[in-house]
Amino acid sequence: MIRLFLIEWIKLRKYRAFQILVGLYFLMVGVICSSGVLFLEFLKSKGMKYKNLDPTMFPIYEFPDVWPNIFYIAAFLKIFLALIVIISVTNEITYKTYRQNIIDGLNRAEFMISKISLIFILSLANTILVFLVGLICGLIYSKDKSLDAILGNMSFTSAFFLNIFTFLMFAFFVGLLIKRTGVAIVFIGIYSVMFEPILTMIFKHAPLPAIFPKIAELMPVEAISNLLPSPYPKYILREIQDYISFTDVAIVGVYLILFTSFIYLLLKRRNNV
Amino acid sequence: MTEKILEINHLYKQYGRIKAVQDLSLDINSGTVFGLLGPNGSGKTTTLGIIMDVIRKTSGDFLWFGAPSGNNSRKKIGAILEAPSFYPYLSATDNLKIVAQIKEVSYDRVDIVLEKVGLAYRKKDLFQTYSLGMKQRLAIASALLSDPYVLVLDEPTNGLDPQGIADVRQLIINISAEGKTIILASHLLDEVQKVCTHFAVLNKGKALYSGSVEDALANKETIEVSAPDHSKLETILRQYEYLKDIQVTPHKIIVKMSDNKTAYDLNAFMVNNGIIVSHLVTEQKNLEEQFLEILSQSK
Repeated sequence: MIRLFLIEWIKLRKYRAFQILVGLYFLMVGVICSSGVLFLEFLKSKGMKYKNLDPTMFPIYEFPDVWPNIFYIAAFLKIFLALIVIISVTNEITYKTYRQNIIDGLNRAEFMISKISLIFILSLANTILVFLVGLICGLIYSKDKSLDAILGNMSFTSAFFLNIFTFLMFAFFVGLLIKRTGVAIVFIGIYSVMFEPILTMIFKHAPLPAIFPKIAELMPVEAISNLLPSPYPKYILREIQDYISFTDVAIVGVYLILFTSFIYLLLKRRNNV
Repeated sequence: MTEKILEINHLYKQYGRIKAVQDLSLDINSGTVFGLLGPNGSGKTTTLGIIMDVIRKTSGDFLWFGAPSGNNSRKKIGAILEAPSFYPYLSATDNLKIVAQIKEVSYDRVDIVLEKVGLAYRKKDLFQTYSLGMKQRLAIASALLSDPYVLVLDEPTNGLDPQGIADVRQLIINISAEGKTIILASHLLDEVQKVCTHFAVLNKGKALYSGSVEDALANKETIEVSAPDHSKLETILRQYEYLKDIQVTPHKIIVKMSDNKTAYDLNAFMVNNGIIVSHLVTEQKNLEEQFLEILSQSK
């Protein structure tokens, strides 16, 4: 297992594009997640108000609310991390190094596990980074600094990890299926940012039979983002889902099994690697 | 001691309606340099792809070291199929470290093999800065990394300059002298004749011939004769009991004989029949003619 991750690590650690993309990604995550208060002050300076409430009054970094708040925002950025995964997968096909890996004595399952270990580490690093940003911002801005408050809502940390991990597995699958870097990146961008959100919107809000909103909940990108429901409506006193629902986790679990199986089948069944 | 390194039994590969490999059976013993010969598109690369597990066979089977193949048997094989494939943005050292991890051998081997192929002085440079010859040498270094029992090389001198070709051939001969088995696909007959001990001829996915180079070239002498009386020479030659084949050209006659008869026997026969020849040359046949003959027989 360590050997398989090590193989992936040697492949990437000195790859300039990988260094830059990962560096920029984590910088972006850090900056965006920590600038919530600045953003609210920016809104205030523009004279924006909600029912006469000053935007800076919203306690976004208050423990334990900080966890659903920060993970929800951070999850939007995962598309950029998916690019890194796609590049690492499509490179193997473009440069025929996947084929050479097999010839050298790696088997297909090992190749898959080696990439999954990369995805696991990237998801873990992402989760830890956002957690640390949340912790620091909470310690700065939160009024309640009791351990109970800090450790509340911890389930959002694992939901965030699952969210990132599953989406990156989706990227692995797409990269392997499409094989071409550019096409795969355009596909995943259009699919997950435009196609599926628009389709689910139509399914949920158009006057369609009752089954359609349910289908919408089962679409992959929608299912993944359902893991982290938006916490912000609570600030305008609307009801929100403030827990991780078992059903959502189960749906994503099914997708994880599906993506892994498709990836394995693609690796196994392709005539010519 | 000879043992079977690779055994191929009734291998078939079909791409839609194209039969790339048909009923191929081969045995390759340890210590041989086995040449897989054939025109372009004859199924050489497909066959090597199948035995290295990157192309799915349609039916049949093959055994490496007497056992069904798995990735662990591939670790004991060094193979280069088609162009050298490495990570262009990594140095030779890092590329070989990946191979070392895959083959589960020590990193110490990396410098040893780079030294062996003469790339040690460029080992820190990125693969994408290498010339074709250097890429090919890195591929050979990579194939040698696990000190394998067997080397599988597909067109190892393809695209190299004359010096590169000579270097690679010398490397193959040296490696073979270490007792390793080498399986080599090539369409360059000259190459096979120079380095191989055994060979098989493939055409349209079928094996037309398989045996040792020595056997193929033995008793394959042709003799060129000419005499002032050309027509009498022909008449007499046609009466020779060991005559296998005769080819008459305006100025000379080309003869093939059976039963290991040589120019000496032929000359004696002609003298006995009252013919004094003005020209008598023995020509050792080369693999190229042998190959073309095998191919033409298959039509």
